[in-house]
Amino acid sequence: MIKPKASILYPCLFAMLLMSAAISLALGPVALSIDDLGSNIGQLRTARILTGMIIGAALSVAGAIFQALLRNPLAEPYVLGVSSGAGVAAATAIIMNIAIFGAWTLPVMAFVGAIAAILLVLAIARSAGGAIPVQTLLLAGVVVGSVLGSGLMFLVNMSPNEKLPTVMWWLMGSLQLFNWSLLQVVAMVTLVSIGLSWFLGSSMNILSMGEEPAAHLGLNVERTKIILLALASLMTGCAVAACGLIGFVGLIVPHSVRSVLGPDHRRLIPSCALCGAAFVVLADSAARSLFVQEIPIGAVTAFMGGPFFLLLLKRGRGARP
Amino acid sequence: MDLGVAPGEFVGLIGPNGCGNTTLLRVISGVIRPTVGEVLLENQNVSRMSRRSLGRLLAVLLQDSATDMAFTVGEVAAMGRWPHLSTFGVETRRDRQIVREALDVADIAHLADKPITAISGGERQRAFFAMCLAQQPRVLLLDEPLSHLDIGHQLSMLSLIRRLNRQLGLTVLAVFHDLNMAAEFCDRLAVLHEGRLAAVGDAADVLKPQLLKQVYRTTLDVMVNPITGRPQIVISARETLVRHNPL
Repeated sequence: MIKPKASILYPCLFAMLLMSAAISLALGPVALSIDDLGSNIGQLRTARILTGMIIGAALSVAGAIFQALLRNPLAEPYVLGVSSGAGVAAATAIIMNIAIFGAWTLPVMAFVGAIAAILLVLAIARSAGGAIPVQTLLLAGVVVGSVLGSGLMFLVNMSPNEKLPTVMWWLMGSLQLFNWSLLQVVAMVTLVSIGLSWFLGSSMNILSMGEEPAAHLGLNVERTKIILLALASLMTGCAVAACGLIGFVGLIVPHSVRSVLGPDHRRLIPSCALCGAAFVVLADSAARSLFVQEIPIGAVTAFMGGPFFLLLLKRGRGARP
Repeated sequence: MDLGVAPGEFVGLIGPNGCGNTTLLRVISGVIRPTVGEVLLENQNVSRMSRRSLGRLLAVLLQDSATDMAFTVGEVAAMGRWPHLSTFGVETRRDRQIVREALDVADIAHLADKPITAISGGERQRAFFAMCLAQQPRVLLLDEPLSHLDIGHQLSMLSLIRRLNRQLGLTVLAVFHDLNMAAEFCDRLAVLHEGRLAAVGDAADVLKPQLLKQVYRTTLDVMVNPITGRPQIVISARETLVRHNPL
């Protein structure tokens, strides 16, 4: 664990983020430089980079929140059935050619699907007194995720051949967002949510000690849990709405950042945002440039993130007494 | 039950497994709402106090906080200042000094930079004790504070608590399974039996074989400690049975 001062840490992380943006701009089937930003391709690529940053930040912070809230190292943004809920809604929209909201149809339906899944999980997990025990929440999430997941499998099976690639692409996640106003909405929601989560950093610290110790220290535990759940769900829902299911980011980035900078959420939250943003941008540039055919970003995040995290795990184990 | 604890008293809660002493602690700390009756802390109803103001007044040391977040001992102790911090959670120099003192008093300052996941159970308990001290409470609740400690640490923990009780006027209510420790260090003992108060008073009046047999459903011999004069349960290795229905 290293404990650099905030005045050194954040500029370093920010510089890292800008570097990944520069790399991503340059890499790809068409090499670009800053002068090319105005061109069509330049605009598209910039849109991808910005989307990648927002999504990476959203998923990483949501992952950190879920890990603190559920006090489980395997927790990540999709743990409460979000991926299956969004997947079912998105697949339905694609297969049945739903276009009520025009170009916004798919994102809106995916978002609604994600939030509906979480609300269902909450409804199941809520006890008689209104409290939400964390264990029950996790289990309810697994159940809802599985049931909706089987619904998704059914939909994929029934989908006509010409729709299948679109469905699969959505399920594997992609940063090909051709909608600036959607990006603006997602960016705004994400940035506000990250800000609020940062504010709740010290609350998350004491909550991760256990709910009873946190209550004894003065935290309104149930209210804090609801707020954190809402923030994390919003961010995840937005990320999924914009880019489909990009996996692994929300699990790996918080763990990696925590193993280097420690579990203090006042530092973890902003660091996760910056590191997650850089990670997704780099993963996307790899997805675009490794092979002739663009590969889904979800594959790259898992392929890159996995070994990197193993490295951190091993180093941590060696350092322990 | 009707139990009153005067300020600056050190009261021990004893009773068999399942008698409700941990539940009672959780009712007093406000975690569980009583269905009947109320808990008054400095004449205020605990159910109506905000959690924050309760946290400034009352600290609770639980048996074992299981966590896998690798906060350092110093960071854990610093969490004790939470009820006193402003909304933005900014720690002042005074807060940091209070935390340092708490770590010193709990004899865990030498481990301040170690993650709590990397220390022994007894050391972890002292870290959480430092957290309680950092709250600067006027009342301290302890749930079986001796359970992870060796005999040496048991005695030093209780001596420390009694010193804080005497010097700072800290009111202490602690659940004990070790009757001898309770008798030695507490001003008064309260005996819980099946959710009710069976007896309360000085150890010499409470630790009587007849009451003990009724409550613990086993025959216990009580003698006087030759060094301190306090009552002492004497163990003999004859066969004893705890049965729901006595033979």
